[in-house]
Amino acid sequence: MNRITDIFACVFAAVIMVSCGSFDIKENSGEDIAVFPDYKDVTVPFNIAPLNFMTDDVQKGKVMVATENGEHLVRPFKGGKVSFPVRRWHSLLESAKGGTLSVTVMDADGKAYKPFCIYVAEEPVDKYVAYRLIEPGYVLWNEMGIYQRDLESFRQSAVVENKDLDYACVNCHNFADRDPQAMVFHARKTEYGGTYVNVDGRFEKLDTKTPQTISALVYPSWHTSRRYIAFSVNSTAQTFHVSDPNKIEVYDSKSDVVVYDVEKRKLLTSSSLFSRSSFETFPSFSNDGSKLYYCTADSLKMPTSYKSLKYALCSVEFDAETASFGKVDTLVRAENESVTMPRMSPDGRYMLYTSTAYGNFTVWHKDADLVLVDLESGERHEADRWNSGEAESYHSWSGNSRWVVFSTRRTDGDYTRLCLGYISPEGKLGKAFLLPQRDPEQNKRLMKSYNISEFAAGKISPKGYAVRNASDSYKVEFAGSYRPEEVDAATGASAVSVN
Amino acid sequence: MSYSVLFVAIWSLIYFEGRYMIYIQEQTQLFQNDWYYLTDNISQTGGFASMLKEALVQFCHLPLLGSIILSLAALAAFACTASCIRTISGKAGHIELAGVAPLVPLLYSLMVCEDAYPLVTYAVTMAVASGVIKAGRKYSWIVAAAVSPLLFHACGAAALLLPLIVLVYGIAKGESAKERIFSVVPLAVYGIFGWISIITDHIAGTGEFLMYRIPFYESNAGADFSVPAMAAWAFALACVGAAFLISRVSSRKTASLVTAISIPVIAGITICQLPDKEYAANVGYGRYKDWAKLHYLYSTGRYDDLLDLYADNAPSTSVESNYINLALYRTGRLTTDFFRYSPGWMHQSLRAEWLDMQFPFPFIWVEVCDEMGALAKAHQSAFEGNILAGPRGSAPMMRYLAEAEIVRGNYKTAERYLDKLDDTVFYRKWACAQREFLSDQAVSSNEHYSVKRACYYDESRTLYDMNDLWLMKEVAANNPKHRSTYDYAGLMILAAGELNTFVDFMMEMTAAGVCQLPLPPVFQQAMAMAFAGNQNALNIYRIDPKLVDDYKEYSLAVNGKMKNGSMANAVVSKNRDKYWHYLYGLMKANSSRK
Repeated sequence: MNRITDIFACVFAAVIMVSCGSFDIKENSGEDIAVFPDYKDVTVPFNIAPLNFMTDDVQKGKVMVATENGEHLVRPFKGGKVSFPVRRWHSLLESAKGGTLSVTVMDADGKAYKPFCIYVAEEPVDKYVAYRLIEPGYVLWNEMGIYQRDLESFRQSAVVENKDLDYACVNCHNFADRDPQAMVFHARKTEYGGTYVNVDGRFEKLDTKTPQTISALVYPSWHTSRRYIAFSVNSTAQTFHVSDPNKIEVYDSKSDVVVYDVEKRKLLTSSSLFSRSSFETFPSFSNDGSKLYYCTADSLKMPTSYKSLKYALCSVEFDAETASFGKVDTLVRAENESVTMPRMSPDGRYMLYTSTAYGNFTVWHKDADLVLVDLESGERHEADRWNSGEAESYHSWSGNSRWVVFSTRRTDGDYTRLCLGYISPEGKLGKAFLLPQRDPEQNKRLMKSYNISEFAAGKISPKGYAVRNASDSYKVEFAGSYRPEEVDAATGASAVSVN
Repeated sequence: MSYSVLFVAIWSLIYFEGRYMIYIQEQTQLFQNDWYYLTDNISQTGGFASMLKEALVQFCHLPLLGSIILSLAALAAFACTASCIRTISGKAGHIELAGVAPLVPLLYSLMVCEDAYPLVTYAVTMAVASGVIKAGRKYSWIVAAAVSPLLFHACGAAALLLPLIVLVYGIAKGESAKERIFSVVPLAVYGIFGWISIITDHIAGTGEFLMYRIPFYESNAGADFSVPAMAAWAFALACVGAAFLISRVSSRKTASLVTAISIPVIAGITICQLPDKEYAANVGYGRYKDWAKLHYLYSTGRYDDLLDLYADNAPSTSVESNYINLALYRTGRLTTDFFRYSPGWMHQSLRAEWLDMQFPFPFIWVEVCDEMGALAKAHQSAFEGNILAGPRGSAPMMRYLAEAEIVRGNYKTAERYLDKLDDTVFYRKWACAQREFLSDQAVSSNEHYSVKRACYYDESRTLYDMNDLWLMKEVAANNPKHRSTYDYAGLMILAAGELNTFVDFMMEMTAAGVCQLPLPPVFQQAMAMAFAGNQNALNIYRIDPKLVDDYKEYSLAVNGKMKNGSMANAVVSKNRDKYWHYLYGLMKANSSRK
């Protein structure tokens, strides 16, 4: 957006405010106001919930939000917390679509602070985002759950909570093309442990540990056909740094990638995904399903070599008709960075991944940042407008490829929160903003982390009842020809070929 | 008058039997005077009662005050039960019967689940029930039908008592068949409420209502729905029913007799039969109570009282040993009296991780790791302990987390914990005082924090590839001011009977400039044995020749000159109260070398 236009808009809005009867400014101080969350100059979708914020600078006063065409909303506030009515806010954003909102805060004495701008994009964001809420813990957990949040309001509801499942660990939820009806997630420990797949109204519990794979299924990615779901299988452990600012190191000592055939309940793989000389993880199908992206690194001795472990980003061709794999290609080499969590935009234009100095569990790496690769030009860009000095990690794309929701530890370095970032059709990034909350202090008060943020196009029906009443679990079989004599002693990986 | 007597009886029970237990309850919850806390709680099933419980239990930080408040809550439960009985039976003289039913939640709260939640939910439900039936029989069923779902949301399973009491009331006082039938309505509403939920769930395929609206499914009320808890509620209900019945058909004398017999029987059954068998086998009420007492004495700085408990008794668990060690350290006697109290497996107990998930183990484990200088481990353990305490966390664990984050320089995270503690009654002062340390400059100018921060010396290793002793040696060498690390490390080696390792350790510490002369008494004794005959070394470490003479027998054992027969036994026998395990360790090590 043109900078001059922005400045003009802000000045125009300020003029509107001054002329507004209910917002009598006695003094334009020109001072910057510090707001939390940082909503200054952010780009938001026009259907986002109100950007309630708090400030230490003014305890009692008024706030005015104005569009370029003169529509405005004035709200009194106290306790330093500013909140907006949902309907009025949406009406304002609707008229500001593609333009700018100017926000001016005035204290009770009529002293106005320097207005700040909020850019309103024309493209909407998916209505729902699903995430897990859990303490950013180490080994133990207590209450946790997968929840969904209506991004147009502040409504949060449970998809599945572990108190419904005898306090099992619920994790790694994923949707097929953001379809709330096609969901997969895992439950760990307790009698409810297993992988739960909900597709076409069927809800199945799967026992996914096979003699040939090193673990039950872990990180998922649906194929566009919905017949397949790629998973990693990982032997994951964690250890604690003695004095590193990154408190924890989570690592895989073994990992492979397999593809689950939903219809046949069988696991497929290829030697490139199931290699004994390397770790493969974070599978992610391309937007058209013709490729399976994954991260791969040399199989080093862990955890002693944890700092030397760097993952490259590769892809292998996948033919859904014949369930066969083809050539392997390398998109990003593991030279100066370690690549994790690759996700292609639905329009196929970008590949977004998390980059860190080493390893793959980036939420505990303060240096972890989001990186975009333009698949047309092959150019690599740090997503500077989205990144912060703390960890940025898990991410997913909205259906229209204009929005990304990602996890970030920018508020304090420990408790993960969600941010939304905008990318224009021309590839320009808007400044990311923290997921709005009805009470902005929630960001500081909630003692849980948000993780695995996945957009959903509609409301997800709660799964607790279905899980509790799931039929006997189906045993998943391995479809590769397994040669146990070739199991690598160090990694546990074996040589396989697909039937 | 009778209520005064009852209050004294309840208070005596809570204070003398359970004051340490209620103190632990306070330590594993976090009530906050905060709007966010309020709304978050109220939105959950059982949340209101849970919040009310935490509001009351916070005062158990001072057990005398807490026991009075809980006694008042219990008294309210008795009073409301008595009111219900009086209203239903129409007899004022049967108040003794009210003593039977609330006994179950009271004892259950105090001794079985160590959580005041059952008592509080019972008191609230009975308060509502007594209020509802006082509305008069013509209206009570309407009020109860309207209130039941709300009460369930506020109090969880205990809310079932309301429609049942209204049913008993209707049957007892109804003047016509119509009135008696109406008294079933609240229970029917309660049931229909549940069945509608079930049907809705099946149609919608969601299960959302089923999970959160009817009993017998777990909710945020937590232990409220466990099998023993449900048994307790059923028992309480049976008691209420029986009390009504007896009050209707019997004289006051009979009622008193039944009460007199019932109370010990019910108390016995509640205490002995209701606890989860596995839990009882693993922990046991007596053992837990002992630990609670140790924690209370340690937390309140009564170190000598704590040590006095073991003047004539050897500790038998790692929790006890660790509390003794910390008390010794706090009183400056760790390196003087270490072997006076510790059993032979002390070394293992120090290194064992999470032997027991039951509080107060996490508290003591965090303290020990912190004193050992294993701050990353202490930090991790505090976080786990905070999670283990429950969804709201634990104030002492949060206090340690705040401190740990200040030490690490993560001031924003520290603020998050301080904000929480700011909203409490008993931790606010501490939290306010820590706010001045939210900068590097303030930390470096504060002795406590700066010494702790130096424990995070530049080390790229993880805890995976180092053991505690290795880490402690590094911390002791890099951070001589953290004196407890040096003390603990030396004692850990000695407790393992590894005298050669101890000598190596002392040499390393000497080279690092950590070793200060004169050595602590226990260290001197060890060096006297190790260097017996080596006058040069004895001189370097300024070991008194008399000490060498005193420890002649041990020296012989160490050097393998004592036969493992009668002479060794004689030494063990002679020193059993102080050093037998020490000698045993040395002899064992000596024997294995051979």
